[in-house]
Amino acid sequence: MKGQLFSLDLFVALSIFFAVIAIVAYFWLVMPSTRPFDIQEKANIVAEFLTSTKLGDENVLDCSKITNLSLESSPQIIKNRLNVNPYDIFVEFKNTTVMCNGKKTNIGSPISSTSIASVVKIVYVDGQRMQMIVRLYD
Amino acid sequence: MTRGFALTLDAVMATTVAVAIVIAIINMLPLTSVNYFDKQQLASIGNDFLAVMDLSGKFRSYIGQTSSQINKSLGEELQLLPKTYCGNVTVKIYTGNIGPPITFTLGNTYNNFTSGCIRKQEITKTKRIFVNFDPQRFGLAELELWLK
Repeated sequence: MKGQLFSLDLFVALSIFFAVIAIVAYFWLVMPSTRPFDIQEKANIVAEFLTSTKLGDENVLDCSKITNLSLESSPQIIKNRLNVNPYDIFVEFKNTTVMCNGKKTNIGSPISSTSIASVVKIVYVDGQRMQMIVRLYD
Repeated sequence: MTRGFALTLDAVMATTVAVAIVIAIINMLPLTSVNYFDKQQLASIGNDFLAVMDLSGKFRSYIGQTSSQINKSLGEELQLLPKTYCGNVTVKIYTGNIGPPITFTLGNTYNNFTSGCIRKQEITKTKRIFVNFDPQRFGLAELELWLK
């Protein structure tokens, strides 16, 4: 009688244990759990990189970085500098016609495929307030 | 005695593991949902909007203007938000006495919201305070954001 009760208990415990392993494996392998988060984070880091690092000025665009990147014609070099590999990137500025050096400058080029991560940041430079949209493409 | 102890210990261990797993899953689920990104983005844009309004001196420029001018300007500034976002911005301007004791008196309240938006239950609120030195005024800007 004692042995039978103990076996039942052990069976229940083992069932829960294996169920737990199965659920954890499901989250790790089946669900793309951390991928969207990682890509979104990458886009966020790019947005932060393009704005000032000075305390209190986090929403002010860093024109030198934007100008240097916009002058770069090689998409691969832009991707490397922004550390967004293996994704393609397009940084677009909206709600403005002028910004750094008196002209509006986007970075990268728009791609017809649907972006997989998109971060919008409201930024400010030279008296202009605008939207900066960082898009990453698969 | 031994049997009872063995059963209880076993049950406690199984229950502890099960509860820990359930808690871990509940914590992971919001991170994997689209809803999490939406909320994060709402809060981020709300902070950006208020920070840029403050940095560009827009809030301070309202001091001395009429209510209709300020409300109209706030409505125009809300167009900075992405088209799928709705905003309701309120600016309160106080006169203050830097003590002791420190006292603030509410002067005026200005408000405007994105046109064509219906208020929803899931709203993200962000706040920012600003100061003007001449004349001395203190301000509180509040922005409520939600998705269309």
